[in-house]
Amino acid sequence: MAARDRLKDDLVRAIPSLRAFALSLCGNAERADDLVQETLMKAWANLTSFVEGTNLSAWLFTILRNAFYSDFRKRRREIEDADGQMAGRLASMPAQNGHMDLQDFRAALMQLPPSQREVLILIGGSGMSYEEVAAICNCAVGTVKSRVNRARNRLAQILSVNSVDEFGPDAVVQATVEPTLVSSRN
Amino acid sequence: MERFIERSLHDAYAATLREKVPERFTELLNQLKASKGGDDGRSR
Repeated sequence: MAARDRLKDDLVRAIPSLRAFALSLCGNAERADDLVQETLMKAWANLTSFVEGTNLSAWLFTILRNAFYSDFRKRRREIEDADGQMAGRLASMPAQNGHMDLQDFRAALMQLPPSQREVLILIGGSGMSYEEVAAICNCAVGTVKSRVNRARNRLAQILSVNSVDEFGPDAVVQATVEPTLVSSRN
Repeated sequence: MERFIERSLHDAYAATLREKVPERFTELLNQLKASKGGDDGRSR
């Protein structure tokens, strides 16, 4: 198989992760896909800067992140999709009670600064290591850890809950089978 | 609460991963591969 064919296959495999990262960063489905397209074009145009044997995903994430911040600076004054409605539309939500939970969570995520959001999604969503994320974000590992910690704490504040039991299907079930438990909270 | 956040992060990410890759991206890569732009993949 030609090198270009192999690379194309590698890039195709990376697209879902790139879309997930892009959506987490900008919270807007249309802009997320535009970011992914820009990333693919830049990657293809700069293949010589990719070192064989290194992490292709990390390289692509770095390109996408740089494109996002460049775009972010241009759009800073635009109204953000803070309620996460478009992000919610892009995702294939499960047809069950968890639907609103995920949308609420996405909306809360979008209230974080991009610098906290990106590390949180790379660590918690994509499963990258702190070291990999530090390389992508061009900062120290300690900075990544600090941002993740602040992001988690801020998310907890935004979601304004005291217990995981107050979320989602569990809460619905509890309200159904244990009405006294719910009324005692109010 | 921490577990809820971790699970939600994973779920939010995974929901997008499960989506079908839009045709525009595969078409784009086919166009790029067919074009003379970029290098010839020697770095790989």
